[in-house]
Amino acid sequence: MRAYLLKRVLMTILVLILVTIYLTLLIHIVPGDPAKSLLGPRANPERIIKIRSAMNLDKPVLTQIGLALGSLLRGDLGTDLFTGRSIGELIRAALPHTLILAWTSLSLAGLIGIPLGVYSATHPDSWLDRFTAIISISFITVPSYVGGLFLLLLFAVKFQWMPSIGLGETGDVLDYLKHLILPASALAITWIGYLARLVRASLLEVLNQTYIRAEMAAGIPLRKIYYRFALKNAIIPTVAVLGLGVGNLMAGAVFVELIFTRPGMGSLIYNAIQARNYPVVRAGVLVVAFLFVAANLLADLLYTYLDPRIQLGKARG
Amino acid sequence: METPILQVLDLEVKYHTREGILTAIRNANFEIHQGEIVGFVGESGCGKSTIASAVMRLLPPNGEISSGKILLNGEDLTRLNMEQMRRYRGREMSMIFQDAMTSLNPVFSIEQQMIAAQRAHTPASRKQTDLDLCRTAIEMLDRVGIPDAAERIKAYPHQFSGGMRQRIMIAMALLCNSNLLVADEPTSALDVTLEAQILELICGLRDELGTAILYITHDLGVIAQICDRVVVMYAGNIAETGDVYRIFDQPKHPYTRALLQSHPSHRKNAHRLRTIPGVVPSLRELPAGCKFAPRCDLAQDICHEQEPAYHSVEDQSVLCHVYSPDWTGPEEVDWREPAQEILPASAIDGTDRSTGPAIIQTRDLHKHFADHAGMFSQLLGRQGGSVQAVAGVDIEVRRGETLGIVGESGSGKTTLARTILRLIDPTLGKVIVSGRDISALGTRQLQPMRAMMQMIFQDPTSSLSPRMKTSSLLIEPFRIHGIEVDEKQKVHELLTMVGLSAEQADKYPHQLSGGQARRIGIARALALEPDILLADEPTAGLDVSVAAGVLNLLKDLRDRLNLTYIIITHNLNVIGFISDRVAVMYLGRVVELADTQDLYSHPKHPYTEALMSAIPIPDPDIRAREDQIILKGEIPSPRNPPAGCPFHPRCRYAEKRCGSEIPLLRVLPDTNHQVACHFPEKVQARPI
Repeated sequence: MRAYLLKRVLMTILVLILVTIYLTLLIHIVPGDPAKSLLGPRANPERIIKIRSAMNLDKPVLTQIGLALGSLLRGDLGTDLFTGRSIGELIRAALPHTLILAWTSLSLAGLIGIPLGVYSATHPDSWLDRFTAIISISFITVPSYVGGLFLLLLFAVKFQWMPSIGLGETGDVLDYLKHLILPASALAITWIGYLARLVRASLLEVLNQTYIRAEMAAGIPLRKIYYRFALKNAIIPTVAVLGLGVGNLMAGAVFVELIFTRPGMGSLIYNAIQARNYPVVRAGVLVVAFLFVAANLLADLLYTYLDPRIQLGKARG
Repeated sequence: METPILQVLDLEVKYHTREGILTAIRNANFEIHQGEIVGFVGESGCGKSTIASAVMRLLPPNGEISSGKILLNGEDLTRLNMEQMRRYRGREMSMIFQDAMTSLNPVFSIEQQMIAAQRAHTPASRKQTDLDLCRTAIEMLDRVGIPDAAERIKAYPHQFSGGMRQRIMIAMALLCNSNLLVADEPTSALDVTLEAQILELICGLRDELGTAILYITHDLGVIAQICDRVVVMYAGNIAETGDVYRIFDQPKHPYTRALLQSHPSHRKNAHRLRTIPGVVPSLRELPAGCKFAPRCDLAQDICHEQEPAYHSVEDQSVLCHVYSPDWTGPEEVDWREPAQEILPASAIDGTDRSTGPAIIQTRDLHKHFADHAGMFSQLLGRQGGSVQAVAGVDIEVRRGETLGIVGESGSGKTTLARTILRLIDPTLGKVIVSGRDISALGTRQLQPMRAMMQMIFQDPTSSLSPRMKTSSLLIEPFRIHGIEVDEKQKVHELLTMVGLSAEQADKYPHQLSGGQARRIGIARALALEPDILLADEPTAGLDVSVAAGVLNLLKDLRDRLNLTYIIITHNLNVIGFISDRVAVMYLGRVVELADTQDLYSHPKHPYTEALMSAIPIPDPDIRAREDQIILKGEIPSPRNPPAGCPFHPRCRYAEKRCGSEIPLLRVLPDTNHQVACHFPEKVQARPI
C-alpha cells in the first residue's frame, strides 16, 4: 500500500512537471508577442521590456522551463502582471467557490442519480423506469451551459424564485447557498442522468448474482438487499467513472461560472486568457490539473475500500 | 405419525413467457420429516430447482404457484404475503446453493453477512448487540469446521477456498436453526475429496440438529450415499418416490432404471453404457400422454395417448402405465443387464494395447508459471516467484490405448495436457511423439504434428465460434491446413461419424444442445484424422444420459479408428469407465499409474486410496462405510508446495521421512503398478 501511494505521488509530480513544461512552451506557440498583446498596441517599449523580463521571456526557452519548474518546486505561483498581487492569493480566493460548486453538484448528482438508478433497476420496465430512462438520456445530452441558461431564464428571470448571478451577500451563509442552487443544478443535470443509467445497468447485473438470491433466502429485507448489499457491488464501476468525470466537471464549471457570473477557477482562468495574463493562466491550469490527478487518486483509494478483492500496487491475477 | 416438517400437496408451477404459459411442475406431492434427507434427482430441465424455488417462494418474477399447497409445520406458505414469507426465510427454512464461489457477497466480510442474516430475524426490542450475534456466528463457523473462526470471520469471501466457502454458506443457512434446509446441488462444483467432506458435514448437522433436508442433485452416487428417500423427477412430474434402498434395488419407473444404467463406473469398463434415446423435452413441446413415453422402451400406444396415474408398487409411488391393472405390454425387464453391448474382443483383453509401442513419451516434463510482478516492482528489483504447475512428469502412452489423467483442481492435469500438445511451451524436459522430440520444434515444423494430435475442449459452447455454422466449423481445420476436400461430403461424413443428423450442418452453436455441441467438438477434432486425441473433461456439464452417449461414442471411435486417447477429468467414474490405464496427479506430479482395474481395486498410494474411498457410488448398501477415508484439508497451493512428499501433510500414514524426501515414481516389483510413495505397503486393499 505504501509503495502504491509513493508511486501515485511520483506520478502526480510528473504530471505537474509536464503541465508546467507544456504551458511554458504554449506561450511561444500562440501567435503574437505575449507582452505586446498584454499591454495593447500603444504600449510603451520600456514597459514591454520590463514585462518581458518579469515573464522571463528574454531568456532562452530551456532556461524559462527551468525557472518555471523551479518556482513550481518552491510552490511559488508567481505574480499577477496587472495588479501585482500574488497569484497564490488570487487562487486562494477563487478555489473554494469552485470546489464548493463542484462538490455540491456531485453530491446532488449522487443523491438524485443513484436512487433513481436503484429504483429503475429494481423495477425494470415499470412506468417510472421508462420515464427515468427518457429523463436520464435527455439529461445526459444537455451540456451544462445550455442547462445553465435554461435554469437561469426559467427560475431567476421568469419566476424570480432564485437569485440570478453572483455569490450573494458576504458572510450570509443562507444567501450563499441560495446562490449556489442554480449553478450546482446546471452542472449536476448531466451527471444525474449519467449516474442513473450507470447504476441501473450495473445493479441489474448484480441482482442476477447468486449471492443476492442467497440473501433473499436468508430473509434479509429487500430494501436492505438493494441499498446495502447490492448497491455496494454496483457502485464500484461508478466510482471509477466519477474519478475521471471530475475533469469533465471542471470544464463544465467554467461555463457555469461565466453564465452565473460566479467567481471561481473557471472565471479566473477565462478572464486571464481574455487578457493574455499568462502567469495566471499557467497557475490556474496547474491547480486544475492537480485537482484532476488528486480526484483520480481518491477514486482509486475509494475503490479499495469498496472492493476488498482489489489490492492496490499488486498485479491482478 | 408425527406431522412432517414440509408437506407439498398437488403443487403446480407455471411460467409466463412470451411463448405463452408453460407448466413447469405438475401435480407434485411429497413430504419431508424431521431429520430426514430427501433427495431430488433428475436431468436438467426436469424441475428440481423449480421445486426448490417454489418451496422458498423465490420463483423468478414470471413464475407462479398456480395451485396446490406448501405446508411448513402445518402453515400454508402459498397464502403468506411477501413480508410474512420473508420472516420464514432464513429462520424456519434456509437454502444453500451450488456455486459457493458466487453465493457469498464479495464486498462484505463474513462477519457483516452473518450478522445481517441474523438481524433479519432478531426483533429490535430484544436487545441483542452485534457482539452477541457475532459470537453466535463464530460458534456456527466453528461447528462447520472453519479453523480460527474468531479471527477468520473478519475476512472476505475471496480469502477462502471453494470448500471453505461452501462450509461458510452452510453455517450461514443454519444460523437461525431452520427446520428445513433446501440444498441445491451444494457439492456439484467441488472436487471429490471436498465433496466427501461437505457430505459428511451435512449428515453430521442433520444428526445433531434434526434438520429436514431437501437435497437436489443430478448425481445418483450422492443420493445413494446420504438420502433417506428419493424423488425422481422427469419433465416437471415426480416420476417415482420411495425409500432409497428400494429405489436403488428395485427401481420401478423406466426412467429411474435408465438413469441407473447410464451411470458410468470402472466396473463397466469393458462395456458400452445403456443410454436413453433423445433428450428431456422442453416445456414448450411436451408430448401428450406420458412425458417419458418417447424415450421409453416399454412404451405402448396407451403411453402416448393417456397421462398415467400414480400407482403404489410395494413401497414406491410410480407414475407409469405399466403398473395399472389394465396394462398388457411387457412388464418386468431385467434392468440390470439389458442391452449392454460388449466391445470387440481386442478391446477387452487389451493385449495389443498393453504391448504396443509408445506413441507419446514425456521425460521429466516441467511447466512453471511466473508470478507476474508489476512494472514498478520490477524497477525496484523485486522478482515474482514461480508456480510449478507440472513438476517433473514421466509418462508413456501406447498406441491405441486410453490413458486417463485424474486429479483434483490445482493438480496440474490440464497444464500437463496442454504442454504435451505444445499449446504451451514446457519449461524443462521433453515431449516425444512418434519418436520425435517436439518440445524444441518451431511453429512451422510443429504444424504437421498438430494435425495428428487434436484436442477436445472442455467447454464446447465457448470453444466453438458463435458466428459459424456447424458446416463451416467442421471444414475450418481443412482450411487451416490447406487441404482440399469435397466439403459437403466431408461434413456429412463427420456428422455421421459422431452420430448427428445432416440437418445439424446448418445450425449455429447456440442452437445445439449440450450433447450435440460436444459431438461437434469431437467431430472437429477428428476432421484431420489424427492419431492422438486429448479430451479435457469430455462430459463435464452434461446430464448423465447425454454423457453416457458421448462416452460410448468416444469408445466406439477409438476402436474403429484406432485412436490413442488422453482423457483428463476429475470424475473418477468417467475415468474408470473409459481408461485402460490411469495416472493420478497431485500438485504437478504423477503419484500413481496403473491399469484401471488394478488401480481401482488395489490403490497403492494413500492419496489414490482416499480418492477411491470418496467416490459416491450409486449403491446405498455400501454407504457409511466405517473405513471411509475423508481427507482433511485441501490441496495446498502450488505456489507454496510442502517440502518432501507433496501429499504428506494430509497423509494418514506419513512418517518423518515423508516430510523431507520426495518419493520418486517407481515400478512395484512384479507388477505394472507405478507409485510415488515411501510406504506403499501400508495401503491395504479395499475393493469397491
